Amino acid sequence: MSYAATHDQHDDHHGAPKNFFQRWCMSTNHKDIGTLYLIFALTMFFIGGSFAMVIRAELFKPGLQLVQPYFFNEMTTMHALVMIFGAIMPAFVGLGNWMIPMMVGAPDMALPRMNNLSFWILPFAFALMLSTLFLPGGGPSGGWTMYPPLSLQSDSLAYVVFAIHLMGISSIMGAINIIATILNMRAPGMDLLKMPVFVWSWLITAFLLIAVMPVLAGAVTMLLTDKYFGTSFFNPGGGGDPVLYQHVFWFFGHPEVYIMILPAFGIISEIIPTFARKPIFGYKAMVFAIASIAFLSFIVWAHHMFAVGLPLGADIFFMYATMLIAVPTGVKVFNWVSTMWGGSLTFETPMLFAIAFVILFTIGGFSGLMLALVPADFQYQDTYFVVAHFHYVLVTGALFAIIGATYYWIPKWTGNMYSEFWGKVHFWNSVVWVNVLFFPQHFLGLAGMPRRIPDYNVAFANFNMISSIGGFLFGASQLIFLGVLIHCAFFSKKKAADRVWEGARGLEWTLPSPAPHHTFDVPPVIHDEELAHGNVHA
Amino acid sequence: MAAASLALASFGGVAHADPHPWQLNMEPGVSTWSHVPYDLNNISLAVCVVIGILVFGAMFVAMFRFRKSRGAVAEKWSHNTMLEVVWTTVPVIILVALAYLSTGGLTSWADTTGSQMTVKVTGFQWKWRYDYVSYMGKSIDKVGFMSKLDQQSDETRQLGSGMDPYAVKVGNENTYLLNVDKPLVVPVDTKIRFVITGGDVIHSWWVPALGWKLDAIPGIINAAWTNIKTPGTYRGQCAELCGQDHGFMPIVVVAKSKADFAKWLSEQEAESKKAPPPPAPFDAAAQSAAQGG
Amino acid sequence: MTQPMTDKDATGNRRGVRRTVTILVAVVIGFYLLAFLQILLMK
Repeated sequence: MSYAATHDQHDDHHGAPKNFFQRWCMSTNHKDIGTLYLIFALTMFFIGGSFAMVIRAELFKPGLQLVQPYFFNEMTTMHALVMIFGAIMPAFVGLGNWMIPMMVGAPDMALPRMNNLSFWILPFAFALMLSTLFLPGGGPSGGWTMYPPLSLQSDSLAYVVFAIHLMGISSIMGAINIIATILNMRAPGMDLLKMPVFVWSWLITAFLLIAVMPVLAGAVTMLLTDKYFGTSFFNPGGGGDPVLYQHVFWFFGHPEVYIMILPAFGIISEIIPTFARKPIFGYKAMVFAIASIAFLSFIVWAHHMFAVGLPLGADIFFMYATMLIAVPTGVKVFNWVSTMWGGSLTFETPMLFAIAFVILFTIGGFSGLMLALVPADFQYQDTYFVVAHFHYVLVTGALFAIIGATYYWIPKWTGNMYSEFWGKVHFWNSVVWVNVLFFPQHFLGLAGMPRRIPDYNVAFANFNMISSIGGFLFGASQLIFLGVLIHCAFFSKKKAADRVWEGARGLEWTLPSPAPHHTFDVPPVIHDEELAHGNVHA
Repeated sequence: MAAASLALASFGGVAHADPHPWQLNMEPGVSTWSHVPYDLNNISLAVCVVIGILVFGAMFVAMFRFRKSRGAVAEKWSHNTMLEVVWTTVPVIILVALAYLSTGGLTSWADTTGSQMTVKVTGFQWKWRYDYVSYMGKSIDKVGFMSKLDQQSDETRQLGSGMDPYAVKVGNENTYLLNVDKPLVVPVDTKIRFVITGGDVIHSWWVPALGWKLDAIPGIINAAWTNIKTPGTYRGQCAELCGQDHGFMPIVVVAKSKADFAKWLSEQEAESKKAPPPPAPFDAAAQSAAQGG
Repeated sequence: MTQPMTDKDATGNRRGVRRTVTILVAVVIGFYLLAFLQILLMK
């Protein structure tokens, strides 16, 4: 219990700014900015989720009952753009902002004012993007991938491109901040190979962001100039090639999906050891696996293009490279299971989400392996089999990790325990309904149902109805999460200890709960036995 | 003739070419190559199921055996070099096996040489166009047509039409959104080369029974081949988002015996050789009346 | 427990941050310039 309470950790002599505008709009505090990102991400999650409700409502029965096909395409496009760029990515940035400085013993991020700018760009970018739904021609409807020539038919293109540029700049600045912080501001004694896996995962993800966000910017700028400034990058009539866009886009797009999962891997590697009361199995292998996956992510992009008519050699190369990623990913899964094996396990809500992640993300990985096999992919490409795959890795993968992390760290952020009962209600509803929602979509894809269609032949009706019911109930279950969060932040009477969880190790657990506005103004002494990975042998 | 061949396809012991309710897995298809994706799908699925049972099994055993509430005390180890070597190399071996099978299948798909027939497919917003280019070494002139969603499906799918998708049938088979006005007719037992392109945006030509799909891209001519073993009617859909009616531009391929196909083809060629009807003489009064005086 | 943070450490950190940021910003600007150069060349 004696966490070496010092004058310094409690002597937060100026605390948080009293003025609301000063505190929340002009913040330079990583905790407040982290909170802003998380609240923003949660809001966007419900907005993107409501678009999904429209989709599943229309797909509930064969025939068109609710929306015109063009609007349906707007919904599928915006659902993806909002979830990817507005919910998942900002949520990970929020978690990183909150936890990275505390985990490495730093007082704040390296560039606190740029941190604030990175956040505040986002509400403006999304207001712009969402407002296109109210344009006379509607919002973007060519898919989040925006393939030309189709995407050039959209009148909303300029607004969406500008919004994407803004989001990209926000991400790039955030990534620079994270790298500068981790490389330069660790407390003395916090060697790189003693850092929590979550910090490693964000360090590597930040490099991916810097490498590929400019590529996305280039791709969408070329779309803009093709439409408005007379270029012909993608127009065969002018000597261009639509497939060029796909190469440039997916060179961004594939690392992007790893950007969305590597921090999740880091989170799971924090949660499982705590509730197994056992160190993470194979710490160095875990770090090395994340780095290998990040490297491989650059050379597999054309597996999104197997039906495009690539040369045989290209198909073969990208197939082999894609299959290779299964090896480090498998190592991670085996290591998580080995951490549990021989431990002393308890099953609080964060652990439940982490366990569900390992099982269900692995299922998503299995369908990914099947998709990698090119001749099989000829039947899977652009069907609901692909939709099932990426929703397993993104929803039961990335999203469950984010939710698990929130349950895990919110007692540190607020000083209050959340309701364990309602957390478990949220968990069980989520895990059951998410499978009812997405598992049948594998069957739909195998039976031949294409994606991005608002209506379908009656043979697909049964599984579509089941999936839609799962969708409505999964969506409703997330309201339980909202209730748990609000109760925890404002109404919970149960106070949290500094070391909230018995098995938790790491610098963040030496701080009071709630963590004071300023922490580690003076660097802490690093005691190896206090760290999760201080005694690293191999 | 058409009804008889349809009856044969439906009841003649042929595997389902079209989706059926509660369908769980893909079909082996009807071409000489279509078993390749089917086999790969089943083999890779089996591999994944086995690995899943092992991994999830270990997790469930761990969750039971090592619960704190059961008195488990945590071990301290965090390494096991032999285990780590095994679970790195065994997956590599499995992947090499899968890669070998896939490479063979892909190489055979990519070889369009030796084709006895060529058909050109063009994707438009929102219909397909088929042009017959050559058959048995002879080039075909002026046999080409547009193929779009059948009228009954089109009327039924309108928003709020109140019409019942279950009522759109051909015989006993529900063909809602899977039928066209003019299907592509081809012979069986013939290596047919498809040259596929797009007329406006990217589309994708997909008939699951043939085992593959290929994008129809403006400015690019993609090529694929098929050799259908069994006469029948095979249905597919556009498989690349192409705008508002992406879900409403299906594909129907009718495979006939070689004799029937030859007969059909000569009928089509005769049709196209007939002189078109003379244009109606220009009627100035009717023209200005139509334009509102 | 804390350890002393001297001005030397703080200066070292500050220099390190500036070096890191300079390198990364140079890389990003480089990527953007490459992209725009490519756009111009291909126009």
